[in-house]
Amino acid sequence: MRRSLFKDVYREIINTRGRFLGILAIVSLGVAFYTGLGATGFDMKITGDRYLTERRLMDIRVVGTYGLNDNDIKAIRAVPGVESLYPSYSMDAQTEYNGQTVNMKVHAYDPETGMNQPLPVNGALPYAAGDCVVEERFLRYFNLSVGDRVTLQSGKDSDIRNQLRNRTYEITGTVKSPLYISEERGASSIGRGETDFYMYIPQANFINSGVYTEAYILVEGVSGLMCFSDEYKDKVEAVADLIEDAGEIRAGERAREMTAAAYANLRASETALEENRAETRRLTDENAAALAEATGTITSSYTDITGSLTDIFMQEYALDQQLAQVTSSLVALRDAEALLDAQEQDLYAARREVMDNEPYLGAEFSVQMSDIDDGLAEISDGRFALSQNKKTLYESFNRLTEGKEQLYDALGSAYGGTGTLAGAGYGITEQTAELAAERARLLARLDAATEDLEKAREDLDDLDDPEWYVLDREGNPGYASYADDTDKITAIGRVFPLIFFLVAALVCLTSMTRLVEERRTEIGTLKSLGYSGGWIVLKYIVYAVLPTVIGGAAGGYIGMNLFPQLIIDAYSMLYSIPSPDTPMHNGLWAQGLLMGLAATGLAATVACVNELRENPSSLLRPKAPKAGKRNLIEFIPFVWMLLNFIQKVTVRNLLRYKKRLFMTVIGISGCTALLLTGYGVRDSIAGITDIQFGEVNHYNMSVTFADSAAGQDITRASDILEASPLYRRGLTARQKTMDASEADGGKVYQATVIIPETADDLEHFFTFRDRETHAEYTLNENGVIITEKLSRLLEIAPGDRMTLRDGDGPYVTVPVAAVMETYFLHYVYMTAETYQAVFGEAPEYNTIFSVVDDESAHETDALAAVLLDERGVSGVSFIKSMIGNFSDIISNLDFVVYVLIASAGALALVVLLNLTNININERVRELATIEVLGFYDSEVSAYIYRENAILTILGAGAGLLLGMSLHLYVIITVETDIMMFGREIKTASYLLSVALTFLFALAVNLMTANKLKKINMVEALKSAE
Amino acid sequence: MPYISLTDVRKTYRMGEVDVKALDGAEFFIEKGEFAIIAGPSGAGKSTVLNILGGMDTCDSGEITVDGSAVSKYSRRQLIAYRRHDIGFVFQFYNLMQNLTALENVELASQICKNPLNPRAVMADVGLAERMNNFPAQLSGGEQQRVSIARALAKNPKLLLCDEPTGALDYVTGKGILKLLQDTCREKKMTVVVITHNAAIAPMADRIIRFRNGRVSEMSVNAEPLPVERIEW
Repeated sequence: MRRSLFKDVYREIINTRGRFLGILAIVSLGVAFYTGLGATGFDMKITGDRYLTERRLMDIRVVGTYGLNDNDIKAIRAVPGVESLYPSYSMDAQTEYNGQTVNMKVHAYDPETGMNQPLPVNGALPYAAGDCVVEERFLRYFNLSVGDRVTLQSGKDSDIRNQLRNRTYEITGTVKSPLYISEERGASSIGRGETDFYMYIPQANFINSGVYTEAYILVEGVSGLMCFSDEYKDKVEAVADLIEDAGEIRAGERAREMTAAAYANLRASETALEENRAETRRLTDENAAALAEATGTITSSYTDITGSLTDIFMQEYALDQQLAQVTSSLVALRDAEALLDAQEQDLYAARREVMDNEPYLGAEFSVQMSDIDDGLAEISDGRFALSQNKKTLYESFNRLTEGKEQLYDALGSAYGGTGTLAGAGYGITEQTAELAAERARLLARLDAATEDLEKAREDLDDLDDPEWYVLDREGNPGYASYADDTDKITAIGRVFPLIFFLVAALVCLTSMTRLVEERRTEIGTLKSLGYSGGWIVLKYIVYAVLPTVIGGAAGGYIGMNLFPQLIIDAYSMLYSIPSPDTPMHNGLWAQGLLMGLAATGLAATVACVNELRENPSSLLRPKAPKAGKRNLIEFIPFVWMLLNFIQKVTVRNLLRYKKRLFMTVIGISGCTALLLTGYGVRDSIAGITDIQFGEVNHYNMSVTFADSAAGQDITRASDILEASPLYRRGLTARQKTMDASEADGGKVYQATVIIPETADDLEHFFTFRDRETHAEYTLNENGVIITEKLSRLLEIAPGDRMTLRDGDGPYVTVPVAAVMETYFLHYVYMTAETYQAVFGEAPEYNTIFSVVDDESAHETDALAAVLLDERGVSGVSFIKSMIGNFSDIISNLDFVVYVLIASAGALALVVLLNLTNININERVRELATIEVLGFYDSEVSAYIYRENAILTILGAGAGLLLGMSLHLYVIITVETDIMMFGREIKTASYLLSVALTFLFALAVNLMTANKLKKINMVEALKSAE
Repeated sequence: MPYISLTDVRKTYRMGEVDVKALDGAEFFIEKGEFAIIAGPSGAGKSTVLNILGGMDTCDSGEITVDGSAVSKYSRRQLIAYRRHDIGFVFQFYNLMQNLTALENVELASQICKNPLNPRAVMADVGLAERMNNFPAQLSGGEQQRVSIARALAKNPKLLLCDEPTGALDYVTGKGILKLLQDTCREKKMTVVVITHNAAIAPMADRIIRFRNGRVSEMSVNAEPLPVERIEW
């Protein structure tokens, strides 16, 4: 029996291979999807895990706000559970090619580390100090190649050589870093605030001042665990918590270590400054004294000279007096001489008279004569005496004149002395002034230094305690989203195959029913021969199970090889992980197979059981053809009358074969649903960025300020912004992440509270509107406006109250005025007045939302760089770059859509092919009859295809409904807590799904057209039914 | 030239490894308006010749003319048109559309040809005026065969071809069907060809063609055909 059973099954399969292959195909599709999508999530995790384990990616990274010193490192090492630790460095830097500056994250490379080892892609790892390795796309971006050089700049005012020993590095190769498994590169402290590329340089380049920037840690006992598993996360988290505890202890110690040294330095500086100041004073005082002394000397010299001059003048006066006397004596002398001359003349005249009168006078004469001669003698004597006098006078005169000349000399030299002295005096005055100025300057400088020191002391006094950031792998850019994505694929992989299994069951049911009906006589014969029902059914069970097992095995094999490979390849645009492992997952395989078996086995049993219930004699009689029946529509004459003859026939036929109707409708609806889901998912995800950043948020740049930023910092940045030619408008606001919950507590979500300074111009920055009705709301004192996803998560509606808590602050309750459309993150908008009212203080603004002309990335980057240089500015972000990231994701969605189209096509193909074939086989007599009646080929085809077309339309309609639910399911599954995807599907997607469904149906009809032509009328009509 | 003539018609079927000569040079003719019976044992080629004559099958060689047209040279499409407009078929197992009422089965045929007869009138002619709206499953075998004949007649064909029309019917019912066919031939001047393995009914025909081994073994014309009622078998 066994042999003959299998022989029988084998022949049956060969004869009805189309049906057999149909079941096989649909089961293999179902199993392929189930195992393939299920395995993809697995494989991505396995591949990721293996890669990260191999590269020894740290489990925990500790970053200190002031770096980590040796004591910190020791403290971390001492934490239980820390298997190994490696302190390292990283820094932000910039490099520039052809005027384009990009932000680099520079990591230390040390082959000894044994952690975070970059995977070489091309070329060699760094060896010499001046070597570096970069990521492949850095080379592509700048069109560089291995061997070219990278020159780093600090991106700030300081010289990068304060931090690195070399400025220029030669690219020795390209690598993949396990720190970056996605395209995300994280934040940067410079430039526009985002990292563009990473690179590794030998660790020795980092100038160590006893402080590392970070420490990499491997946790004990987790290397064997799958790193995306909860077990791994729990273990790592436990150790991370311990490290955080250690960090809190170290915070105080480190603060003291740091401030102690700083305070000591400060005091030393202050002392040195004071000494300096004293020394300056002393030196300037000394100089001043010297100058004063010099001035004294000069003054006394001057006095002396002045005294001598007076003397000289007095002597001169005396001399002049004497000279005047001499001169007047000389004049008197000259007068006396003149008198003598006149007396002598008179005497001579008297003598001559006497002589002339001699005769006359005799004695008298002599007497007279002697008197006259005596007179003459006296005059001569007198003259002599006068000349003596004169001589003496002249001598005096000469002497006096000489004395005067000497005096003049003395006067000249005295005058010379005063000139010199005056010069000297002037010089000293100048020097004194200079000295004063110099002293003032030196003192001012010292005062400035003092001020700086005071500021430094204040800063030091105000210094935040150093803090550790203990980051697990999810802190790495892209790591968390990778894990999320794998989960999502797995989740979706649970749903889609259900459609295929359902259809497999249906296909199997119709195939088996037909087969059992065809073999009715045989079953009757076997039964009459005494075979038990079980044995008879076995053949059909085997017939159903065989394609299921073969299809399931093949489907699993293909699915697990194909899907992970394809999907991971597609994701590799987003994720930088090596090519995937696609091992067979036997568990999944078995699950898929069991589902397939359940579907087809059940269908086969159901199909047989009906026949077996009949007794052998009735089985041996041909089954009466299914009687025609009037259907409901015929009793509505109004409708029935409208149909022409052929339409009536079609309606009757459709309703006659209800099983087939349902199966086709379900199969086709599955096809349409898959298509609609594919397109819908794309619409939902692609659409939200356009809506979010086009219709809801209108600002395209935001400038954020550090907590420490003061009002004038914001004003200054705002002025710079407004001065930019790119600037259109701006809005100052406070942005703060707070804990949001229902008014009575319960679940807590992080929401960003936005408090605009003014509620006037808000419509230029935000549109508060309902997602469905687009009704707009105004932000006012009536309450806050919250975003939709938050309202869903918290289950609060307008009119309810909600609780907010800012950090450790008080819980405040606010009324919710409206719920607005938003897709990313959670926001709570409130007016400044509301804030003031509930928090009891005015908001401290820390953000400028602005609308700028962001056409040119070059210009916006430059603006960002300028702003980031400003004090207090902590970040500048552009919406455009966020949208850019999204377009990558969307290109991946296209791939998902293609996979869905392909599988929808396969589904439609199998269902319609199977159905049309069964339809034709079952109705071959009917078809032969109309052929005999002389229906043309096209009419015969139309006879069948009209029904197919109607079923396809019905199926497509049902598919749209099913697709909408499936789409919603996928969207809700794929969504994360902080995201909301669009719920709408575009009209074009509905149309496209239906059009493609019709196209698939048409293709199947074309494929079966030949079969209709080949119907052998003679054969078909020869025998009884 | 006779209305229907077959000249040296041959047809070989390939059954696996064996070639079966179904027709091996069959030759006969039938005049217009005759009631012809083709008789012979099973496997003699009766059905094959009828199928070929009705345009349901083609011959390998030979010539078939109907009303002056060479049917043997028809293309596939011409054959369909031939079946559509010129031929009415009646089968042993009726081959009614189960899903259509009796009248609708007739309409199915009348819908597609050039000069159809009124289906209701034809139904009345075959004696089914009362059963027009019944489905085949609700009719007896004889009634179903009458519907089948009505369907063939409604097309107003040149030829009515019947393949063992009474094969599945009891004696009385079969007789009724044969009478209907004979009356149709007489009253409507319809050319009727009936295949039977029952030689006993031969006397009712105008022309009797006997088949044996794919050939016509005898063709005779009956000058005095008997009405069916008078034949017993």
